[in-house]
Amino acid sequence: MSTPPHSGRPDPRGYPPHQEQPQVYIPQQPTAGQQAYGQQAYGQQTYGQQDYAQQDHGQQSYGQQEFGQYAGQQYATAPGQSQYGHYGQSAAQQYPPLYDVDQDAEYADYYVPEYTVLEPEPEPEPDPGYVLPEVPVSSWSVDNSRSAWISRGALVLILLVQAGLSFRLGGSAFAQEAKFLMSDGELSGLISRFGLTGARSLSLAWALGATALLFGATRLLFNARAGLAAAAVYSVLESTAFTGRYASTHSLSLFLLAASLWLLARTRQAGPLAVLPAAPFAALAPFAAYSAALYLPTLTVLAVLTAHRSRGIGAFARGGLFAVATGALCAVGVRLVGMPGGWRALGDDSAFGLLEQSAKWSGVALLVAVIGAVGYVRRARMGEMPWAGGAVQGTVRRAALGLTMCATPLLAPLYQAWLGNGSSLHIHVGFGLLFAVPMAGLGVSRMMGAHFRYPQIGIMVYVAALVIGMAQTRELYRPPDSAAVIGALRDVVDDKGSYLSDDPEISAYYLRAQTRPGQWHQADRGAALSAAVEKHSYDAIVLRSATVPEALRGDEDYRQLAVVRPAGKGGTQEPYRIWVKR
Amino acid sequence: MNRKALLPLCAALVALTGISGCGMLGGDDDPAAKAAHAPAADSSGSSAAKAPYDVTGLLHPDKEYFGVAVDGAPSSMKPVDAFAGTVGKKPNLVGSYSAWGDGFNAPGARNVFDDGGMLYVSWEPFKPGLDKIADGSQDAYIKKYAESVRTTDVPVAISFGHEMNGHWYPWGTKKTTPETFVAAWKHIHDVFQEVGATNVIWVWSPNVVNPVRSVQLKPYWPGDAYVDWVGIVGYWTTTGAHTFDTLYGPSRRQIEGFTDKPVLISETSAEPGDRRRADVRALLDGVRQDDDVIGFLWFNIPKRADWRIQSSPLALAEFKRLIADDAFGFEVPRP
Repeated sequence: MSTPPHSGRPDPRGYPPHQEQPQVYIPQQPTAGQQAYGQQAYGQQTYGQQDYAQQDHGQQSYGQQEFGQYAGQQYATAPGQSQYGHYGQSAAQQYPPLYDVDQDAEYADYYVPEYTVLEPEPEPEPDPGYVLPEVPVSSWSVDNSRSAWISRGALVLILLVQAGLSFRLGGSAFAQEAKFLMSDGELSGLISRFGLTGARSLSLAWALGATALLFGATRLLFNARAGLAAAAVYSVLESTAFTGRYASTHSLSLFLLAASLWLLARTRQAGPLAVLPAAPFAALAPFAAYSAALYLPTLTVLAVLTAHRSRGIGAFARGGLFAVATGALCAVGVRLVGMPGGWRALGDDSAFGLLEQSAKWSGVALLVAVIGAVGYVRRARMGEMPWAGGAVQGTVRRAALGLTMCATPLLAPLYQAWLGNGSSLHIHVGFGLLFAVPMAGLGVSRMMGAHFRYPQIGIMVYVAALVIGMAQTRELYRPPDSAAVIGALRDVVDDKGSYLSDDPEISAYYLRAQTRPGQWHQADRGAALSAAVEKHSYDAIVLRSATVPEALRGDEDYRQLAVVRPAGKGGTQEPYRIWVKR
Repeated sequence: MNRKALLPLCAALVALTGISGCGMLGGDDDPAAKAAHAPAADSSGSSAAKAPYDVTGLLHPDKEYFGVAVDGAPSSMKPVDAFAGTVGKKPNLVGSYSAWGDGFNAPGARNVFDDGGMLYVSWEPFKPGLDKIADGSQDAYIKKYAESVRTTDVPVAISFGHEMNGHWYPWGTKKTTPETFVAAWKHIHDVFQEVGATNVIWVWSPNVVNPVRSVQLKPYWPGDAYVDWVGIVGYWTTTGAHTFDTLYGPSRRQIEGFTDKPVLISETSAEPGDRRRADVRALLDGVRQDDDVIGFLWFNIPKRADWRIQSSPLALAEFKRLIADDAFGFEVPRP
C-alpha cells in the first residue's frame, strides 16, 4: 500500500509534509466507497469474490487476474468508484490535481536533494551442492508423518482382513500339503516340529508380507492412496486367501516376486546397478513355485519402465542388467537343484473352461486395473494439487506401464489353457494379479476421484471384490475331510504293515506316530488295483470311491471295514472306503 | 463425522477384526490331527466324523454267544429281562423276525445294544420272490434298509432267507433254485457294501439237513466273501436226534467241505417232554465244548409247541445250572 507519509519528516521521495492533504482527500473516500458498496450489495453485484477483491486492495491483483472482466464492468458502471479503484494502483496519478501551482511556490525554499537509487548487484547464486530428485507428488494434501501413519494404520487393517479371510479356512491337510510337510528335506524337518499349523502360519506370514510389499511398490510407483487400494483389492482375492492358508511354497514365491517388484520401485531413481538387489528375489521365486517363472519377463519390462523417468536411455541398461543377473542366478539354481517340476504337463482340460474360470477369479481386479490404466494413460495425475507441478511420465511410457500390468494376469490362464492343464490355476492367477493390482489400485483411486469425491465407488469395488473373493474361496478351498478315516485307520495300522491308499501322503502325515511314510503306497484303479488286490500284499486298502470297485467286490481276502463319509452336508467328496485283510 | 471420531472408529474396527480373527484362530483346529491321537469318541465331534462300529472283534469271540428270541423283544427289553431273571443269565443276542418290506427295527437294535447285546434279525423274503431281489428291482427298499442299519451304527447280525434248504418257506426249495438264492444273497450284500452298512454280521443259516437229506447245502453257499457266520437251525424234538453230533453233525460235515466260518446254533429249542432235560444238557455242553461253535440262540416262544424253557421246571433247572458257566455270555463291546 502506498500510503503517503503523514509525519513531519521530509518525504524521501520529495513530497513535502502536507497535513491538510487528508482533509482534502478523505471526505471523498467514504462517499465513493459507500456508493460502490451500496451498489454492489443491492444492485448488480452477484459475485462475492468481487466484493472481496475490492475491499482488500492487497488482493486486487489476484481479483483482477481471476475476474478481470467483471471488475472492469464494475468500474465502468459505478461512478466515483473508478477513482477509488485506481487509488491502489497509482496513487501518484491521483495526487497531482490537489497540488496547484501556488502550493508549489509556497514550498520552493526547501532544499530538494537530487539522488539516484542504485539497484544493488544481485548476489550470485551459489552452485547447488545437492539437488533434490524429482519427487512424485502425493495425492494427500500434505505428505507428512501423520499421513504416513494413517496409511500404515489402514494397511494394518487390510492385513487383518486378509488374515481373517485366510483363517476362515479350516480343515485337515490337503494331500499336497501333507506331502510338502513329509518329504521336502530340511525344510520339512524344520516345519514338522510345528506341524501343519506352523507351516500354514508361515504361509500366512509370507502372504501378508507380499501384500505389504505390494502396498509399498504401488505407493512408490503412484501414490499412497493407490497403494492402499491395491493392497485392499489384492487382500480379498480368492488366490490370496488360498495361498495364505495353504501350506505350500506358493506364498513364499509370491512374496519373492513382490519383494523384487518393491525393490524395482525403490531403486527407480538410482543408477542401473541399483537394480541388482532385485534380481536374487526374482530368481528364487521360480524355485519356490515354478509358475513364478512366467513373470520374470514382466519384472524385466517393469525394470525398464519404472526407471525411465529418471534415467532416460539408461533404463534399458537397467532392464538388461536385471534380465542378465536374474537369468544367471536361475541358471545356477537349475545347475544346483535341477529344473523346477510341473512346467509343461499337458492335460485335457477345456481351454475355454479354464479361461472362463480365470475370468471369474480375476475379472473384477483386472477390470479395475484396465480402468486405472486407461485413466492413467489419459492423465498422469488427477490434478488434486494444481500448484504441484513437476515432471510426469510421457504418454507412451504410461501406456506401456498400463499395458504391461494389465496383460500380465493373462499369462497364466493363457499358458495353462494352451497346455490344457488346469492344475492349481486358481492359485496361479494370483501371481499375475500381483502385477495388475497396482494399476487396479490406481483405478480405484481414479474412480473415487480427486479429494475422495466418490468414496462410494471405492467402497463398492472393495465390497464386490470381498464378496466374490470369499464365495470363491469357500468353493475352492475344500480340503479332504480325513478326520474320520484317520480315526478309523488309527486302530488298523501298525509300524509293520503295508498299506494302499488314494491319499498316502495324508495318512502318512497324520499317522506319522504309528507308521513310516514308506509303508503307504499310492492306490490306482482298474487293472493295477486288481493286481494289487490279487497280490494280497497290503494289510489295508483305503480308497476314495462312491462305489465298491470291481476288484474288491466279493473279494475273499479283504473285508470292507468301514465307509467313511465326509462330515459336511452337500459336500462333493466321495466317501473313504477301508478294506482290511480278513 | 469429524476427523477426531474417525481415528477411534478405525481403531475400534481394527480391534474388532483382530478379535474376530483370533476367534477364528482359536476355533481353528485340525480334526484329522485330533483323530490321529485321540479316540474318535473322545473328541465329542459329530457322529459323522466317528468311524463306524467295527464288527471284526465280534466275529470270533472268546466266549459263547447266548441268544434268545422272545415275544415283544427287541422293541421292549422287558421280556428279555424277564427271561434273564428266569434262567439267571443275561442273553447277549436277541433274535427277531423281519418280513421283506418291513423297515429295519433301529430302535430295537439300539435297545439291545444299550443292554449289552446284539440284535439278530431273521430277514424273511415272503414276497416278491428271490428273483426280484436278485435282479435289482427291490434296490430302493434294500438301500433304505441298509441306510437305516448304517446310521444306527450298532452291530447287527442279519440272516437272510433262513432254512433255504427246506421246502416249507416260499424262498425254499420248492419255489426257487440255489442259484437264485445265491444271486439274491450276493446282491443284497453288495448293496449293503455300497451303502456302507459295514456293521452287519452276515449269517447264512440253513436248516439241519436231517429232515431234507436230498438237498445239498453247497449250491446255496454264496461264498466266504459274503458270509461271516454259518448259522444252523436245529430243534431238539421228541422224535429227532438226541445228541449234539447226530443233530448238527451231518450238516456241519457238509458245510466243512466248503467253508471254515464260525458256526452259530442260530435257532434251537427242545420240545417239552421226558427228554427235554437231557436235550438241554446235550445242547449246552455241545456248544461249550466245540471250539468252532460260537454260541446258540434259544427260541423261547410258544409256536406249534411250547418252546419256552420255563414250561419244564426240570429242564429249566438244568438250563440254569449249565448257562451259569462263565463260558456263556459276554457284553458286546462298546466302541
